[in-house]
This record gives sequence, structure tokens and C-alpha cells, in this order.
Amino acid sequence: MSNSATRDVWRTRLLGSIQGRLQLAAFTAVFLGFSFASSASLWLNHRNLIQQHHRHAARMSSLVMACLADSEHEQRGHAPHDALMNLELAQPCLDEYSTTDFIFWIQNKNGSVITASPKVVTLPQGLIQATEKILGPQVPQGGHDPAASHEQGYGTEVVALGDRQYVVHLHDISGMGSVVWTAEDVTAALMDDQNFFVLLLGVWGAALGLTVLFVGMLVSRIVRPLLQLNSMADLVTADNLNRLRIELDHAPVEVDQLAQAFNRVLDRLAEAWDHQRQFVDAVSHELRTPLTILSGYLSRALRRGDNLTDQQRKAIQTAQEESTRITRMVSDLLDLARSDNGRLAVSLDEVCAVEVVQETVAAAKTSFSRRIKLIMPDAFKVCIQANRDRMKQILLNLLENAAKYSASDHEIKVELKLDGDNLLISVIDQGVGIPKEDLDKVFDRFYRASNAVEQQGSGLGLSVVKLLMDAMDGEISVASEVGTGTTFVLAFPTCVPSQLLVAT
Amino acid sequence: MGDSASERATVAVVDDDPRIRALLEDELTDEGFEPYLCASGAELLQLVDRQPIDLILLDLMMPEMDGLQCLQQLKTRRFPGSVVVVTALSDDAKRREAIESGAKDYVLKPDLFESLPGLINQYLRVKQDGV
Repeated sequence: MSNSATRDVWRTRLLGSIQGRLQLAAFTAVFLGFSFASSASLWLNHRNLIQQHHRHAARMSSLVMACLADSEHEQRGHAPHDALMNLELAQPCLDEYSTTDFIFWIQNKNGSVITASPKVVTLPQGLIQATEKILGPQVPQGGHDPAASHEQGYGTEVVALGDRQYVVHLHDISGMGSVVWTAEDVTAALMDDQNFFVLLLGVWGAALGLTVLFVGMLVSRIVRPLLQLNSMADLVTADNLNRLRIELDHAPVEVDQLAQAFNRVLDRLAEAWDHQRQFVDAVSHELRTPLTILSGYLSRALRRGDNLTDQQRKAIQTAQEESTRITRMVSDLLDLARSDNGRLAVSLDEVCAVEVVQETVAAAKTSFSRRIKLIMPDAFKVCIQANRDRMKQILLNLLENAAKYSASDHEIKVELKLDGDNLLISVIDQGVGIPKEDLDKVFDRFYRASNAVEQQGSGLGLSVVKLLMDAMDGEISVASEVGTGTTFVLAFPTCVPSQLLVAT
Repeated sequence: MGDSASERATVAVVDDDPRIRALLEDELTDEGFEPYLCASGAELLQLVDRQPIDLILLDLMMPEMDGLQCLQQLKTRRFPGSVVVVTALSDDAKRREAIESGAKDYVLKPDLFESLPGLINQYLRVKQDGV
């Protein structure tokens, strides 16, 4: 599991990112280029070496040939080319030019071999056989065209004999079937060649290592503006949309253009967001006056209407409850708009929590027509840092939520208790509950649980609750079980432990 | 306005919206007070210069002179009665400013009818009982 995960991470890092791809491409290009260049130079070097020895051997062979021709000339009774077959005529020439490193021998048509005299140089054991094995038995036929023999590949080969290496050269001279062989001991030269190869391998490795480092550094420099762009884009929130713009130092043109395009998008976004906020702000503000008039006349009608039938009274009551609900919704919308705007400031005072909860529960009982049970220790009194109105707004939102999602005959419980330095206020319903996978989304704007009753509520209530709790430095948590019910717990820090008063 | 008028507590309603003025006029009259209606801050200042007022219900957002400027003017005139700001604006900064400028309370418009009995008790009945 973890192994394949690590592998995946590496694969993404290498192939899934521009940085990785650039690094891989640059490294591959350097690797291939350098390997090709190294191989080519090694091959050329080797070929040159062989060619050099080939030329050398050819030169030396012609000297031997000249010597043989001279001997022949001096001994006039011999037929031409006899010198090649005559040990006495040939050996002095071979002796003259043979050294330990440069050995000549003559192979005649009949297969006999004339070598330099053993006191000058000893032909290494098996050299002739090894040579024949590679170049074929060199007993040319009569009338053999010397030019053709070259064309047929009589030439230069490297022959390995034990731990020595020889460049063997065939010099066809007569067309009569006799040939002169030269073998040059090139063990040292080839060793040099090999050393050169090892050295080149070292240089190759080091160069590739440096390339990895250099390419890595270079590419990460190239990619840095992109990462910078990314991390700056991450900082953009609804709050700083108006002022945050992306500025990159020394970014390449393409990235700079991208950043500018991004900034233009931000400009348009900020403008649109601004309009939307102004709209929400204006609308919800404008709604408050008519709502005041509406609920004012409704409550006047209820209070002063002494000739209302029960049915009329009930109708007006319903109308008033609804207007209260709209009023709270408008407040929620305003708060959300302001918080997006960074203008939601909630001032904190010392608040007697029990009093606020009691008042709110009493108000909720009538406006939601529900049984709400307040549970707290006897003579409980606790002071918290909060905003009275906002606390009411929060509790009403939670109670409305509880009422909305539980059957009307089920009691809603509000529980107050102390937990260390915190006051916990729990709102407990026995409603439909919230599916586990939806729990972390309940405070999102416009979110409704997948099992929520259709078309009820704005989907804003809980997001406002969260917003206000954050603004008051409080915390909210939720626990729920489908079919059993949901519990929201508000935690407020109490003023100062010493200020906790327990009434007698 | 004879003797009976002077016995009743006086309440000035300052709001640029005539519907709000009308609503509060009805309610205050029913509660047994004498309402005076002002459509602007300037009208209110003229009113307090010629008529003792016990309570002012003051809107904040008004053209020309807004509620906060009005509060400053009342302060310089050493207005003896109480001022309660009644506004659609739920803004903690404005609330603080209003209280600092001498407002006794800051009530949000939609909550006005819920708060009105309490306000009347606090700022008018005490006075009436005392007199």
C-alpha cells in the first residue's frame, strides 16, 4: 500500500509536474547526447589507433620488401621472388627489421614459414595459428591479384594471444602466393585505449551527476515563478479579493502574462462580488423597514384587536411568526454579506448566559409553538464574553433548525453546563438526524442535508451560526445520528473563573 | 392641548419614512402618550427648542442631517430627555458611536415592537410615576 503510494507520489512528481518533466527531458537529452558523443569518440579513437598501426605496418613491410628485392638483386642466379622462399636470402632482412614489438614473417605458397632468426626475436608461440584463424589460411593461389586481395579484406586485424594483443598486417607482394606478415604488439597502446575508456566513463558519470544537479537547480528556478503564482493564488479569499493582486519578481514572460490574466480575472471577480454584496446589503437593509411596519401593525392588531375571532387571531399570529422569521433571515443575509465584506464586527460584553438563554427559549416556545425543555444546574449563573443579540440570533437559529427537522410532538432540549473554563450550551433534538457524510458540511452556505425536508429554510441559518460563533471566539460542534436526532454544542469561554458566580 | 396634554409624557418620533411615523404615532397614542412627528433632524431640533420632550425615538439614516449629527446637536443643547436610536442598521460600530453620543439605547427596527413596552417602562413610566 504505502510502497505503491510512494511510487505514485514519485511518478506524479516526475511525470505529472512541469518541473519533473523538464528535469527528465533535459537529463535525458544530456544523457543521450553525451553518451553518443563519448561512444563516437571512443570508436574513432580506436579506429585511428588501428589505422595508425596499419599504416606503420605497411611502411615497415615496404622496407622489408625493398630489402628482399635488394638481396635478390645481389644474388642474381635466383628467379624473381625466390628470396621470399629462400631462408638465407630472406632471414637477414627479417632480422634487420624485426624487433620484439614488431615481428615479420613470410608465409610461402607451400605453407612454409620463414621467421627472423631466434637470436633476434622469437615469434610468440601460436601467433601464426591465431592469425590464420582470424584472417583465414593465407596461402594465396597463383595469379592472385594483389589489389583484389586487399579488396577481399586482407588487411589489418587485432589478434589476441594470451594477455598480449597484436595488430596483424598482411602484405601481399608477389601475386605468386607468398605473403609477408607483420605483427605489432599493441598491448600497451590498447591498454592506453582502455584506460582512456575508463577515464571517459568516469568523466561521463561525473558529467551526468553534475547535469542532474545543474538541471535540477535550473528547472526549479524556471518553475519557481509558477509555484509562487500558485501559492499567491491560494491566498485569495473573499475578504482580500479587493486588494490582493499577484506580483512576481523576475518571472518569465509567459508566467507574467498568466499572472496578469489572473489579476484581470480577480478584478472582474472583485467587481462582481462587490456588486453582489452591495445588492444583498441594500436589499436586506431596505427590507427591514417594511418588515418593521408589517410586524408592527400585526402585533398592534393582536394586542389591541378585542373583537377578533379565534380564527382571525390565529391567522394574524401565523402572519406575525412568519414576518419574524423573514426578519431573522434578512439579518442572517446581512451578516453574511458583511462578513464577506469584512465589515462584520461583533462587540463582546460580559453577558449573563442563563438570562439570555431563558429569554430566547421563551421567545422560541411561542414563535415555533414547541415544547422546549431547559436543563441546567439549580441556581446556575454564569458570565460569558459574548454579544447578547448575536447569542439570541444563534440560539434562535439552532432552535428553529431543531423544530424544523423533528416531529412537532417531540421535545427539544436546551442544556447548560460548565466544562472547565467553558460554558456549554447544547441544543438537542430528536429529529431526522444528519447523515455522517454530510456532517462536516452542515455549516456551509446553502447546504441542506441530503435527507432534509424539501424547500424549507434558506440554507443559511447554520452558516450564520458558525460565522457568529467564530466572531465571538466561541466554538460550535455537532453530533448526529440518523433517525435519533442531532445535538449542537456551543462553547463559550466564561469571563474569568473567579467571576463565576453561583447564586446561593 | 390643554392641561391634559401636559400631563401626558411626550415622545418625538424622528424618521424620514412616513409609514414608520404613522405606525409609531398610532401605537404611542394608544399607549397614552403624546407623539410628535418629525421627518428630519432639523424638524426635531426646532421641536425641542419650543416643546419639552421626554423621549426621542431617533432614526439614524436620514438625508441631510443623520441621527448621529442630531445626537451631537442635542448634546450641545443639553437636551434633558432620553434618546433611543431606532434603526435598520445593525452595526456594532454605529451602536457604540450612538451610545457615546448620548443615546440611552440602540434598537433595531424589526425588534422595535418587541422592545417598545420595555423602553416605555424604562424611560417614560418612571417619569410619569415620579411626577
